[in-house]
Amino acid sequence: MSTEPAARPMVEGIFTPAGTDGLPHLLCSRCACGAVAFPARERCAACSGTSLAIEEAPNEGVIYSWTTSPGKTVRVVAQVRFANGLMAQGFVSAGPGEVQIDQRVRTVAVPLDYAEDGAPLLSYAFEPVKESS
Amino acid sequence: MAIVAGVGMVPFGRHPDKTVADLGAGAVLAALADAGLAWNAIEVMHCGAAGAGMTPGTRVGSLLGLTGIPITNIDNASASGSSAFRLACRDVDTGAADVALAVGVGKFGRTLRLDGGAGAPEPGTAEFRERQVAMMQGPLPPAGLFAMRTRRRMHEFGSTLDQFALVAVKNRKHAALNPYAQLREPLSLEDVRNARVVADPLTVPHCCPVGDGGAAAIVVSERKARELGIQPAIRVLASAFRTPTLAGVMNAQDADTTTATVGQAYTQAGLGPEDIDLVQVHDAFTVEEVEYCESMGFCEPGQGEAAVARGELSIGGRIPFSTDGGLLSRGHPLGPTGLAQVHETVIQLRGQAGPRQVDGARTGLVHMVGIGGVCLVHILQRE
Repeated sequence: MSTEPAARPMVEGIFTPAGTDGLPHLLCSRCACGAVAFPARERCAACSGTSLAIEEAPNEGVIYSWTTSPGKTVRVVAQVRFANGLMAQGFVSAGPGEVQIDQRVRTVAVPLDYAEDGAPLLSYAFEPVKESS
Repeated sequence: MAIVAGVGMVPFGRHPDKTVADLGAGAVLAALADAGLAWNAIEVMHCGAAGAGMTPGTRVGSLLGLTGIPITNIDNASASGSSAFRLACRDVDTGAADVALAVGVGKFGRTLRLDGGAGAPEPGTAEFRERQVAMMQGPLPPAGLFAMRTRRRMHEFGSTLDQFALVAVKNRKHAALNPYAQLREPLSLEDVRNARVVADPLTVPHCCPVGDGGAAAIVVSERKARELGIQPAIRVLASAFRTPTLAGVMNAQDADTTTATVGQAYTQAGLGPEDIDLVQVHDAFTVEEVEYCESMGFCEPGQGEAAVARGELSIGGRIPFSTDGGLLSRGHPLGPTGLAQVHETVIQLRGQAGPRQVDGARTGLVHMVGIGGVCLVHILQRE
């Protein structure tokens, strides 16, 4: 029985499938001046400074707005705000009828493509958080 | 101060029988005829175009005659033509030229490639990685960003999608009166509602068509205007140009940049929104006209939808916007669009706009934004 090659991020440095708490997180940069950016920058857009550190965004965020990406299958794309000040855009693993502004979402790792060796290439996506109450 | 001596256009739409250079030359010849000048009177030329290949302006110039003048080509996305106009005005203002030409060209047929027409990037290159990152973020047509802005605005202000659709309906009514417009057939609110969805919640008529066309404007010095006997003189009182700062909010960057750029233009002209009689705005998507009329100081934030519904932005209203049909109906071949706005404003300020004439129009504002975060505003006034 052949072993499937291990999944890996499609592009390094964009997100981590397992951060310090074991959960997926977007990787953003934070400048000494406080400005946060995604994808991470080497030079700050706010102050042009180069004292930037990589920071894991919180796993959970809130939908700021959303739309649909055209294609064979319609997919939801959202702008998501995080408590660390970041706003990022990405796919939502849900149908258009299941998303709304201010909804809580979590960051998840999903296969977006496959490498030539068959390894799943992971991207991040957002998934609605089922409110327990 | 630069004075507009002549304007010309090739109607926006489909021109399968014309090259980009033909479209530019047609617009320049119309502007020369309007100004009563010959091609060899042009001392310097600036050409705005996006995705039209290398040196489109130089090709336009060679069709008209090899006079040896400097020709600069500018790609500032949708604001390319506006950028060409700004540089032509600057050449006159600085005394570098007495007669300067701005032309814009664009030919897209039914397809618009935003990748510059290049092939797929090779794995391992920086461009390949850039494309992969874009894929991860969810690739969207330009309508996608404005769809999210529309939805956010509906959330914040309680507006309805129909209120934005009314912008498309209004601008189509204006376009029906403009022989240079691309889309002139009647458009109802029902039509907008029932059209195909491009990016939820926006349907096709919420988005501008991208076609073929050319537009040109000739600006001259005060001295040259007297010599030519140009009457009435239409002066370019302000030329403002900004790119974004980080102060802008991600989802409303163009509105923030518009606020800053329009503010600069008002200061240059010594005028305020109360002095403006008509506006040509970057209405590539319906939400933009609503947002920018607030950014420009014509409405309080959140009041743009109501202003449209009350007819305040229609011809005959308080402050007519997009009197030629706007990007939504006059059309938007990128390069020439900013100069089509100048064309419309000059026609209006001369009182030559016929059935779409804005009564007593003396001062007009033109506004374009371009992808990447470019914003240009000019204010024109009849003496």
